[in-house]
Amino acid sequence: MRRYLLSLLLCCLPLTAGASSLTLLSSYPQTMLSHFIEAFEAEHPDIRIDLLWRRPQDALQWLDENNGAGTDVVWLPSWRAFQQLKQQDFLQPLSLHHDVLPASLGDFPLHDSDNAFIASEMAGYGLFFVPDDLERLNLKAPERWQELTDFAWYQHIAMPVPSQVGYAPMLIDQLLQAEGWQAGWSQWLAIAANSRLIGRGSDFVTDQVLQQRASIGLTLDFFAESTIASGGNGQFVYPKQTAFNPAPIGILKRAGNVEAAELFVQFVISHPGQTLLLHPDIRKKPVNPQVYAGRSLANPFALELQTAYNIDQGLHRREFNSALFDAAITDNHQLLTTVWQAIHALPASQHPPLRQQLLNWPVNEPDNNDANLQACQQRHDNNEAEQQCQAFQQHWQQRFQAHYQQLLDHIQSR
Amino acid sequence: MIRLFILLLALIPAGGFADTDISSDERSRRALALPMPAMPDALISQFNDGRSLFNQMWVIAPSTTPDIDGLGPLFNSLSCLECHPGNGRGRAPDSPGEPMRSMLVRLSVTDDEGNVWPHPVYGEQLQERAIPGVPAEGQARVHYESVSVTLADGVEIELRRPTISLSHPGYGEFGDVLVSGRIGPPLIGMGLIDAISDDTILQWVDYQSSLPEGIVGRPHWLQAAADQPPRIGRFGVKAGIATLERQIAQAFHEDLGITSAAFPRENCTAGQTACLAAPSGGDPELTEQQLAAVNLYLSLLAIPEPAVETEQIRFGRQQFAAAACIHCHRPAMTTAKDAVPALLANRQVDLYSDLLLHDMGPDLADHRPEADASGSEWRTAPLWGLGLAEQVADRVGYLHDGRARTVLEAILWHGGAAQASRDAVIEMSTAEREALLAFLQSL
Repeated sequence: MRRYLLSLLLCCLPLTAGASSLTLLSSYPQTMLSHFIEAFEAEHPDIRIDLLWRRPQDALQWLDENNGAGTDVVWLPSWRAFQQLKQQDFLQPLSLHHDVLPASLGDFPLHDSDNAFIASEMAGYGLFFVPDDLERLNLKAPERWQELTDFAWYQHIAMPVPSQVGYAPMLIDQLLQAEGWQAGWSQWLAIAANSRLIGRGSDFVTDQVLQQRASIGLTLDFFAESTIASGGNGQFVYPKQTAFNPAPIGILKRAGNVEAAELFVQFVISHPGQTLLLHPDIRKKPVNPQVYAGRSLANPFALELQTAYNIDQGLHRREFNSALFDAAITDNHQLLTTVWQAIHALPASQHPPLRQQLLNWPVNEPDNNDANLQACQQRHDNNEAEQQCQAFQQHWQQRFQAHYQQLLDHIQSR
Repeated sequence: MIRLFILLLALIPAGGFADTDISSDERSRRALALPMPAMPDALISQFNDGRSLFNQMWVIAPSTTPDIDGLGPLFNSLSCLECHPGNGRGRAPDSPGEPMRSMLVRLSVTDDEGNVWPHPVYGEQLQERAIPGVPAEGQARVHYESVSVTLADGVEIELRRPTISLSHPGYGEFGDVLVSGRIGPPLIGMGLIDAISDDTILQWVDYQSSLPEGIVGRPHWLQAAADQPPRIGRFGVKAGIATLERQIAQAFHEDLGITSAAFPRENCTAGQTACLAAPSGGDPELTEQQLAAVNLYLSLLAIPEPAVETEQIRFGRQQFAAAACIHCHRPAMTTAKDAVPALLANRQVDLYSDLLLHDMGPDLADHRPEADASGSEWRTAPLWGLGLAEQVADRVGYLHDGRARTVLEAILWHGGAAQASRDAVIEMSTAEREALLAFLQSL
């Protein structure tokens, strides 16, 4: 009973106030934010982090409605979001010590040119597989995306749909930029014809591979490497040409607690903060090269990969590409795979012309002024643009459908 | 007596035997997050939706993502995962300076007649967080007092006795309030527990009544509505909830501030005006479809198979029986034949709990009755997956309030009906105790 009374008494004891609060707007998953918030608060027990969680597009709208007020730090894995925030003049120049961070990874800048934001981590595209499964199937782990166009991979690939899976648009575009528009899309058509498509509500790509629904999956490094670090029996490789997507962090001009905001950003890019990225639940790539030293980690700064990528171009045509992908692939996938299978059921000597016919990409590369590109880019913002983008998608969906059907009829009539 | 011992031993499933339709032999960090191997393909999409909602960080309304908004106005966490990392258990802070990250505090007040009620202003749970413009309810901190226990082989174990303090009241003084800490429990076999019939639970009461030790648990009968028959509670540390669906809806409501058909009003009391005036994320915020998806996800998570049995684990299994732990930690039950989905029907499940309430003595008592359970009664905690607790999360706690940092500490807190078992563990030789712990870690 004495203890019970003590409990009642302690209930009434005031605790010392005086802690300051820092409002963090982020769209990272719980597993990542928990580690960073706990570690930061342990290092700065006088600062409490209030987390505002919103997906990037929703975060932008929220900031827009609040005229950039109501939060201190923005931390979103979306370069596009930060470009918009900078354009709206919501960000304040960072006055941090970030000398240890390189200015770029390959051609890709890791700092904004005006220091409005800075990369905090990055993620790269690659392939996840179980080596024993590939060996059993007599398939060799690819070194290039193009190897996945071989019919030997038929029904063995898990491929995310860009209109439904947030990380997939850049995956698609990096190959288009590296190979050229026509050749890149032809390769995606062939890879998609070999693939199971992963959309909203599907298993993760890594699950597809581990549960042997697919033998190889197109994914980001951290999905694969956190799965492996958590006990999944797989391997991840970067193809020789790929892209890395840096995730920025920045401080708002109207931040109420600039001092705490700077401490947080400094913590994220510090050696201890960057080391947290290696936790089995996270496995993102540090932007501080020193963190890789002495660790058996794939280091994007040291890998001999081609990672050239024009982010501005990619962002401009992100929705346009996704609409085209749905028109050519998602909405016609069964027919596409049927034609693909029919071609490869024929003697090998007949494959090349038919493959060429199937994989011929009929849509021209748009420039930034293209009306349909602009409509698709704005499809989530206004109804008229949405309708125009939908009409564009539907037009090409019917064209691709007719093309596939015509080719199938031609093969079957032989 | 020897015959009884042999009978008890026979009740404990040996390691290595498992129902491979519903269990997984994975003992890695993701061990508690895998689907049952025999999950029908037709349910995969709904399972994935449930997983996504379970891991989802919920958003303050209004938003451009109406399917996931409605967080708060008052809440403890932004996601289910925050309190159940890796689908495992949470933990208590180690010092008063550390906030509760996967723990919360239940509240009650007592009237002059000794009846227990939710706090008139703060309700049944302290929500330490709130959306902008709404005051949070306050802060809870845990203080510890050290208590030493010396084992028969001379090893000294330091326990920490917690006391919870409340501060920074957002809506006036707390007054004389009963408090009880709760860490997030592990989410293992939730659908299977739901699928156990009341009759199956009651069979063990008959068995316990026949024991010379006088350990008899009691079912926590709950009446959901006047026109429905009572059902035995089995979820929550005081078995205060009878169905998984209710458990999920209540957690969404109390912990995240998300309304559902079962809890249609925001979690604000009459005096919390800013809370009452805050925008809603829908009516309700968690749709029936979303609730069903989370229910399916938690129901079809694979249960962990015990580790391969070694000589030491086998010896530990014998110690578990010899210390009479299995009188309450009932090794196995069988689910109902008509359970839904069919994958869960007629399965033997080795949960190591009788799902009954037992008086656990004054040291564990929180003095806060919950429905028909007294302040010293607790539901026997299921032990399946116990050995994975520290695999799936970085730091974990044991017992309802996470006071125990290890399984041995948790055992040493047992009292009341389990006093004799605790004493037996204290008297064990080093080899016997280590074997017992190895057995528990193998689950």
